[in-house]
Amino acid sequence: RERSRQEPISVLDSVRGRKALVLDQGIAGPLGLIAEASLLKEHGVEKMYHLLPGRLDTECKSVVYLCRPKLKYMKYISEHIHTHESEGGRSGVKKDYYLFFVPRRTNICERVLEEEGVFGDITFRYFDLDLIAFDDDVLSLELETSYRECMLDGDKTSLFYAARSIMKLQSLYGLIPNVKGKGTCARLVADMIMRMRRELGPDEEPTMAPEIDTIILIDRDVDMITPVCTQLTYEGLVDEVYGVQNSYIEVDAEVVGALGGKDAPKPVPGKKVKYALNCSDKLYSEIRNLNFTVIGSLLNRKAKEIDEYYKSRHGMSVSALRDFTKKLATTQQEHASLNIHTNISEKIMRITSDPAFHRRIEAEQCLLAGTNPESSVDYIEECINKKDPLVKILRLLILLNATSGGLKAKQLEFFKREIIQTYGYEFIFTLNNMEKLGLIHSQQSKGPTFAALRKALRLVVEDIDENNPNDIAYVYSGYAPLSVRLVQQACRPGGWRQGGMEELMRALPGPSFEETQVMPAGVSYTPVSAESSVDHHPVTLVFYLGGVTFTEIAALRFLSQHGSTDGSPARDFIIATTKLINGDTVIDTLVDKVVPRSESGPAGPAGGALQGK
Amino acid sequence: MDYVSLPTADWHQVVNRYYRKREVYSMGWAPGEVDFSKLMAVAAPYGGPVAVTRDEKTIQAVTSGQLRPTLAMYSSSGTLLSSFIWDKGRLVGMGWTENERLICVLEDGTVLIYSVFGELILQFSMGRDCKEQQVMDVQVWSTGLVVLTHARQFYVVTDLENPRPRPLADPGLDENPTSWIVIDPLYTPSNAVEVFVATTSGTILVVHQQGVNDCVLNQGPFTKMAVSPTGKFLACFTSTGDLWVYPTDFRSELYRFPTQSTLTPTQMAWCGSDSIVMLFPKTEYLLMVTNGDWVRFALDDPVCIVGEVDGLRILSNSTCEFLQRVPDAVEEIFAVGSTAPAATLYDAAEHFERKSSKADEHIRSIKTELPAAVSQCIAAAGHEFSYPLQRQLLKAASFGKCFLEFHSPKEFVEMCKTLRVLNAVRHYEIGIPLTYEQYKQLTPQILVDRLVNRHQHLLAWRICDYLELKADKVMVHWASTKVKQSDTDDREIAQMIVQKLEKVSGVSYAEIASAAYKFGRPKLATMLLDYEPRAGDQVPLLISMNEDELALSKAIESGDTDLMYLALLYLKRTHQQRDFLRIVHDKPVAMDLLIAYCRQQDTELLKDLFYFFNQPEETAAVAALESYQERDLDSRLKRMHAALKDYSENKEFQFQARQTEEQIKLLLLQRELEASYNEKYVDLSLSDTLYRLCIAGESKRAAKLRTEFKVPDKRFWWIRIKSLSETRDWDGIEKLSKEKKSPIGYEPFVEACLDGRNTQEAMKYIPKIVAPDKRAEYYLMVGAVREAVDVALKEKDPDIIMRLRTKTTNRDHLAFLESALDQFQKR
Repeated sequence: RERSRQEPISVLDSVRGRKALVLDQGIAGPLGLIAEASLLKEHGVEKMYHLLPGRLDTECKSVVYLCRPKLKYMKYISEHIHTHESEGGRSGVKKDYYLFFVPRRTNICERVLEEEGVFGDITFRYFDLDLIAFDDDVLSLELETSYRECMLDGDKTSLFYAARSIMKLQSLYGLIPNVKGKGTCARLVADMIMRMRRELGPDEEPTMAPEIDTIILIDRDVDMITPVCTQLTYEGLVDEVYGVQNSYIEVDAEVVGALGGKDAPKPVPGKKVKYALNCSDKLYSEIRNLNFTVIGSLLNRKAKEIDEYYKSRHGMSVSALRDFTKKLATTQQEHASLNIHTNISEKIMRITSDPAFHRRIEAEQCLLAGTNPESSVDYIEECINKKDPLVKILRLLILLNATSGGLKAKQLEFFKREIIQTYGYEFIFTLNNMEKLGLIHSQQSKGPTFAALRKALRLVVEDIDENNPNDIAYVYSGYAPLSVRLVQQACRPGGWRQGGMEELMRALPGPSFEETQVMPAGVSYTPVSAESSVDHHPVTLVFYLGGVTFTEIAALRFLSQHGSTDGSPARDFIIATTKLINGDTVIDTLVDKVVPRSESGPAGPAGGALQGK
Repeated sequence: MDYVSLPTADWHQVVNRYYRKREVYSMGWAPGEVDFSKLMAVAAPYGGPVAVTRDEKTIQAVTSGQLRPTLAMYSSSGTLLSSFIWDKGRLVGMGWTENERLICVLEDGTVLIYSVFGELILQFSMGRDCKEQQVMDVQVWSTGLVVLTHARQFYVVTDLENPRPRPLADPGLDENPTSWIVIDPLYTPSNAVEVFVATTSGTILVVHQQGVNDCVLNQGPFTKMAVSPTGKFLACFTSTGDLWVYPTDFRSELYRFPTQSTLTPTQMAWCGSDSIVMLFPKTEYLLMVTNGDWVRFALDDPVCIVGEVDGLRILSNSTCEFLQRVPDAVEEIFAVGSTAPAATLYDAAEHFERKSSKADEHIRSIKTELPAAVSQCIAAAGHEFSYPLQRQLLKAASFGKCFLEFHSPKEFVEMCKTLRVLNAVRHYEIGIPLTYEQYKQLTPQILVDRLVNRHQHLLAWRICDYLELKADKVMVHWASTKVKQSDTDDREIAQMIVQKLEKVSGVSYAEIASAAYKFGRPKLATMLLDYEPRAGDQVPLLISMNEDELALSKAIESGDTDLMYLALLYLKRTHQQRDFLRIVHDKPVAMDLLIAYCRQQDTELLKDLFYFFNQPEETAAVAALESYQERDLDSRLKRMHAALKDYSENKEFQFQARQTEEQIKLLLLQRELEASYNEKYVDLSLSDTLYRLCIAGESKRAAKLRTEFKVPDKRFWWIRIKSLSETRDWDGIEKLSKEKKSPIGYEPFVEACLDGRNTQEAMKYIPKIVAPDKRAEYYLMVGAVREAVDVALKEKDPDIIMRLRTKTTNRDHLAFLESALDQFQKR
């Protein structure tokens, strides 16, 4: 983390004097992770702005833009410069513009700026921000729209960045001997890293012994079932309810009220504050990956422990008192964190105990288990009629589609029509997008069905004990994420080629491959065997192209901790991705945002009055 | 001369130091071919070449056949590198850059840069002002140049690769400076160009881009100046014959030396960093001044002198000599009567060779200082040019090493390696008389570059191989030269180059290809470029070679979308649209990218593209999306109609067509509704429209709309219940419940009442709920616990009560449920 911290600061220092920092919103979050606002201030940042269309009003003479090389941003920037010029021209103040591309300069953006006639006004630099460490074992490129771009638009830029980031990892941790993958994008990325290795030439090869044993590349669209299901781990539910953004959530001030201690001013009701969720919060790292059903009792137990600790000081000997005070600071911290998580989980509990939530989970579980699909179909229709949030409908539809090998032609048309009539014509584009991606389609009978997949990969596990789970299926209370099952299978001897797997793999989109990279001369690599030492597990990097959910992370962490149950060697998993997602955020990228401009008619209350409670 | 017998023969003592001047080469040119007395000559430092041309400033007889002057370049050993007729115009001055390029500046401000082979590499002008004012004089440093115009203005170019002439501040001179000199920006405190200008008033002005500083001196006027090799000191010669030395910050003066010469020296240069050498007109000796003392060196021939970091090179009509202060190690060993340990070791080794027992005696006497003595002998070997002396000194070192138990051989091995390299480049055929000190300063890498520039590829490659340096640049240069020279068949030469370069890693085929292309061999260039592994180098070159389709394919292979864009946009610019689209057509990756670009940047092209590829449904989607950007409804409808037309073209998109048609209908209807109710309707969905109509009490109109758009019964009922609940129209709800059997059951009715916190109304509909579980639950929810239990009793299902227990926290209710459960069990 310290390493990544240096970079943004040197970026800022390279522009002298006080400056206005303009960030694209996608970068603001990750940047906040590696450099706090106060640090930015120290380095001359007078004010920060979001990069938005329209005008930018700032007093600062130097304006520093930090953004992804996207065409729309170039347009915003030239808009800013043009307005400054037309207005500032009179007063004679000319601003200095610096544009830092993240992670690299591109010809296409410079071309657009040229066309807009502002190319000469800007000093160009770049800031090579790639994988950001969210935790010890989670890395993300934070490319928000990569799923849509790669799978739908055919703009594979993010795959190129993914390949570059893998090259960077290899230069730090050695060449990764085993490369496995499933999906079209995975194939492309694997080809790119092989090619980039050739481009580097043998002299630039990393020469250390490989620290990462295997990389498994998985396209998000290989498994769209998992993200559309409601996540049932604590972290997953926090994400579903609050929306975790760059490991921060926004909560009501009261929730974290205890943070400031007793003397702190009463939080203003309704005010939102940011709260960080990562492994530095000890309690959180203990509970984040657990199924939500056990959280209540666990928090209760913790509360009792702390209470007992406080009580224990009565009638203590002096030496015992010393030990007591030693532990006091950490206990107080834990206490504060306990209060916050109790508040958060209470709020979540209110939602999960609502019958509506139950019905949704029930519908999902039925679809996954293949029992009584008709009731789920009715449920979806009812949700539309109640005008529940559209993403919820779409998630359920995708699940229905995936588990039943497509919808009946009539059914498909019915749902599409219901959605358009209920939510508006503009969602015809979203539905088109989903059809292009194969997320919804009419039934065709070929290849193994979901039922076969479910059976072969044990996707549905009954009798899961959430308190003491023995399988990753606990993360969805009975459903084991397909993508993680594929990872498990890949790690077994024989991998994806064993037994009937080959046939099943064909049922999932995109090619699958298992390859080995030839080690550079002088680098030794011993393949992992069952006898590998107990204390040093081989490391596997799982790279999700198009995003990963918290539940999948939890499942992989479960595998790291519990080792394998099937005799293959235990492994440690590191997770990398283009973006941390959940069903809502990933489907939201498929919605073409349409903002009607029409101003006809009298102003009345805006639409959506029917929206459910 | 036999150095081994008498290494001190050519030493000159100045105060307490020794200087030596020794011949390095006798010149390879024919006698009389080069006469420095009649030529303008400029030699490059670090043993570099010398450029000569007729000096236009001196009047001389034109010998037959030499009407036009020639410009010639020779190596330090007098080997002709190149020569050509000079017909470019009046030459004001010349100079060498650090990579041995010759800079020639003409009177009109034109700057010409040549390789040592006389190839014109770059030509540029110093700008219009220079042309108008005419250039008077020029000074060149390792990476740039400054000119002085007749208007007494200075103009500077700091980067000769990308020349951008800029003026320096106006020094405000009324008369021409008596002399001036530029100091390498590497050595100035500001790292910017500074020019020292000596004025007739006797001071020195420091001129730079930002302004002019007067050093306020009165010792001048200075007629000649020279900057020391490290830029720390400035030697100035006054018209009164005094030599002054200042540090370049002019804080103090170091010393003054009266030469008593009334003539200004024609040449003046530093010999290392501690002495200054001057050549006066009409004299046959060099005067060297060091620290207040002086010595004369007699000359046989006219000369051209060039300062080096550790000495002075003297090129004469017949020889190349090197003048330097005797290095410490050498002095210690060879000085007459030296008792230094190294001298003793050297003696001992000689005795050993003569099988004299004194060897042992000597070694014993310096036992403790032996390691230092060995090092000294090794160092001294480095400073010698003569092979026998080098050998002798190394032998002595090696002899001394035998008596040391722990001595790292590294120093010795390194020196042997270095000497092999130095001896190779000093060979008169190569003619680079580098000293050890110069070699260290220059670095082996730059030496290799210089060799390559002189087309000494084999030697350069061997040195790389020997010193384990990266040889890719050497090979690339070799290959680039090859493609220019050779007139063999393209395929053959490509094969030969690839064969040779196969084993060298990091070779830039793009660079070779670029050379081939510049030389007019595009086919060869394309062939070579195919071997370039770096797409980032490959693609731009292919584009500049007009191999645009290939560029696109290569870009696609690389996966780098930015390269793809580069190729795509180039294709778009250079081709007719039809051709462009045809090229893109069979490359889906490029096509997708182009579409993504167009969506953001070029909607017109997007439409053309979909039209061209016959994808009306996409055109339709674009039009439909665009419709939202329209401000007034009519233009919006126009776009929607266009979309409808395109959707209708393909049966596969019937659904979209129908939806679009209905949307048009809806929009028209909504306009009507807005007119009649003065409320916003446009942009509401159909359901929301119905809902708003219901709220407004226009249920008839809603019903009509509902039939028109074939809204399913279920949804319409939901909408009605919701709107009735919103307006708290309990009678309405009741009426609706009795209209017919509810298609959506009665739970929504109960929910609607509960939303309005009307439990009384809710009670009306709970009994109608079919599922007993649900029915019991709702009873419990409204507080009717007795009725809830009744459900269980009626169904004879105690599980219902069990489940109810988990749904409430009300103590009374729980108690009631418990007792009911008891009763069940008793039964």
